Amino acid sequence: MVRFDSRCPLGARFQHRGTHTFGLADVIELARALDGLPSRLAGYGVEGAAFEFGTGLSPDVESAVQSVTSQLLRELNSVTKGPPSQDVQP
Amino acid sequence: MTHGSRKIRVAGLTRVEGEGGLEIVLRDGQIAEARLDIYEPPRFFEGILRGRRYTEPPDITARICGICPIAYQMSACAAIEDACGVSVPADIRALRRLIYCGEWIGSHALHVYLLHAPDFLGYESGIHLARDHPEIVKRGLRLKKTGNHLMEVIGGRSVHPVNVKVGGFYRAPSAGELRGLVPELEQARQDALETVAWVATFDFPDFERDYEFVSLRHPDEYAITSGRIVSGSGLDIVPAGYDSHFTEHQVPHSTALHSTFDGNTYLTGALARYSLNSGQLHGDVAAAARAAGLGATCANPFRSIIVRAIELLYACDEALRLIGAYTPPDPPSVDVTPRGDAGSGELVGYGCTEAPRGLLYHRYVLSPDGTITDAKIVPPTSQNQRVMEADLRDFAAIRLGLPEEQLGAACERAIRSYDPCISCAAHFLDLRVTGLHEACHRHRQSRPGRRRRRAGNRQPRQPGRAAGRDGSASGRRPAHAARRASAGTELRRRRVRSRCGLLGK
Repeated sequence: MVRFDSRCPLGARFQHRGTHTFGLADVIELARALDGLPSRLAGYGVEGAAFEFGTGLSPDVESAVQSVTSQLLRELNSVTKGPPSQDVQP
Repeated sequence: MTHGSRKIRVAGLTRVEGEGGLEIVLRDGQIAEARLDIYEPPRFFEGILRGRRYTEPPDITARICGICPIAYQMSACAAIEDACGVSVPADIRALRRLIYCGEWIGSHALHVYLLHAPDFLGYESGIHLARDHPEIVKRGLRLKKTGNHLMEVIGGRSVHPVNVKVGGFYRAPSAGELRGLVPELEQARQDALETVAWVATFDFPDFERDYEFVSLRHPDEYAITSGRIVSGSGLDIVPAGYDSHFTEHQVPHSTALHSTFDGNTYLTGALARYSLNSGQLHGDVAAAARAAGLGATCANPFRSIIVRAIELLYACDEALRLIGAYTPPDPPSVDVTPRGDAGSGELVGYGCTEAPRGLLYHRYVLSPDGTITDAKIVPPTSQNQRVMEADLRDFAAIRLGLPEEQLGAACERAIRSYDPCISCAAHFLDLRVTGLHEACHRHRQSRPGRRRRRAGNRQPRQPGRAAGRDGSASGRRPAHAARRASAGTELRRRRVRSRCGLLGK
C-alpha cells in the first residue's frame, strides 16, 4: 500500500514510469510547475500481487484494501470535520 | 569495451512513446553499427484480429495507440470497406477528416511542446521547461486539450474513441455541437501560429539528408484520410499496391519489424508529407511556413518540429473549415457487408491513412461470411526504423570527438526528431523465440535490470502470406505460446500493467 500527498514533492518512490515515460508523479509535478494543483491532493494505491489467469484477490491485497478503506474514512472525516491531517508520508 | 572498440549506449530513450534504446558500436575509431534497440514486448494485434468479425478492427486496432487511435480506426475502416467494395459518402468522409484533425492537433502539440522542444532549449523535460516558462507550456497543453476535445465531441472520448464504425459513425454530432468548438479552435489557431513563430527561433544542427520520402497524396487536399502512395522518386500507386513495393523484415535487435521500399531505406511522416505535398498548403499556413524559413521541402530531421507546427496550424484551419461546412450525415453510416458467397473465395481490402507519425497501412483478408482470416498492419515507426539507424550512424560519425555522455545525449536527441512511437511499432505477430534463456542470460549480463527476447526469424514477411495457425509448420509459435514463454518475468508483468494503466495503452 502506498500513499502520497501533493503537499510534498513526489520523489523517486513515485517515479513509476509509464510506457510513454510520463507517469502520475510527472503529471502532478507538471501541475505544480503550472500552479494548477488543487489545494489538497492525496492518493492511495494498492499494488497487485498476482496476475495469473483465474487468480483471485490475494490475502495480502485484501488486507491492504481493508486498511486503505479505514485510512480513507479517517482522512475524509478529518477533512470534513476538522483541520486537514498532517500525517504526510510521501 | 574491448581493445580497439567501444559501445555507446542509451539504455532507455526518454521522451519517446514506448520503450527502446540505442546502441552505437565503434571499432578502430569508426562506427561499425548503429542500432535503434526496441525491446518493448510484441503485442500480437494481427493475431488477435484473426477469427474476429469484419466489424471489429476499428475498436481492436485503436488500442494499439493511446495517442493516435483515430489513425488505426481510419486505416482499418478504409481497408474493410475496400474489401467489401464500399465507398462512404462525402459527408461521412468529411467527418472522418475532422476527427483526424483533432488527433493531429493533440499528437503534434504533445510532441512539439513536451517531447521535442525541451531539447532545443536545454531542459531535461517539459516539467523543467514549465518551471521557467509556464505560459509556453500552458499554450501547448491548451492545444492538446483542443485536439482532445474535438475527438471527444465526435468520437465519444479522446483516447480510443467509441463512435467510429466500419461505414461511418454510430452517431453524427449535431451542427450545434461542432459549432460550440469554434471559439476553442480559433484560440488554437492563434496558439498554433505562435507555435510556428516560436519553434522557428530554435537553433538547428546542420544535418540535411537525401531522403526517399513516402506519403499519401490526394489531388484535392493535403492528404490525411486517403490518397495514393507517392514517393520522391516517382512511385504513384493505390494502397493495394503497397505489398508489391514495401517489405517488412525482422532484425535481431528489435521487436518491431523493419521496412524497405523496393529494398531501400525511406522516410515517412511529417517531413515526407510536407516535402511531397507542400504545394497544397495555402494562405496563412503557407505564409507561416515561409516566415519560419521552410522551402518547398525539408530534409533536416531536426527541423521537423517546424513542420509539425505548420501541420498543427493546418489542422486547426482545416477543422474550422470542415465545421463551417458541416451538415450531419444522415444516416451517420452506410451499410458495409462482405459481398462474398460460399463459392467466391476470400475478400482482400487495403487501407492507408496519414497518422501523425506517417503512413499507416492495413490489409485484411475476409472469408465470405465476414470473418477475418489474415491481418497486416504496418505503422509509421516500423517504416522509419531503418532511416533512423542510418541517420544515427552519420550523425554520430561527425561527433565522435564528443565525450561519451554528450554523444549519447546528442544521439538520443536525434532519435526524438522522428517522433517514434515504439508502442505502435511493436504490435507485430510473427515471433520465433529461440534460445530464450541463453539470450536472456546474455542480455542480463550485458544490461543489468533489463530483459528482452530475441526475434530469430530474419525472413521478410511475404505479402499476402497468412502465417500458420499453430505456427509449428513454419517454425512460428502461436501468440498464446509466445506470451506464456515470456510471461514469467516480473519486468514484463510490470510493463503490461503500466500499459493497461493511466495512458490507456
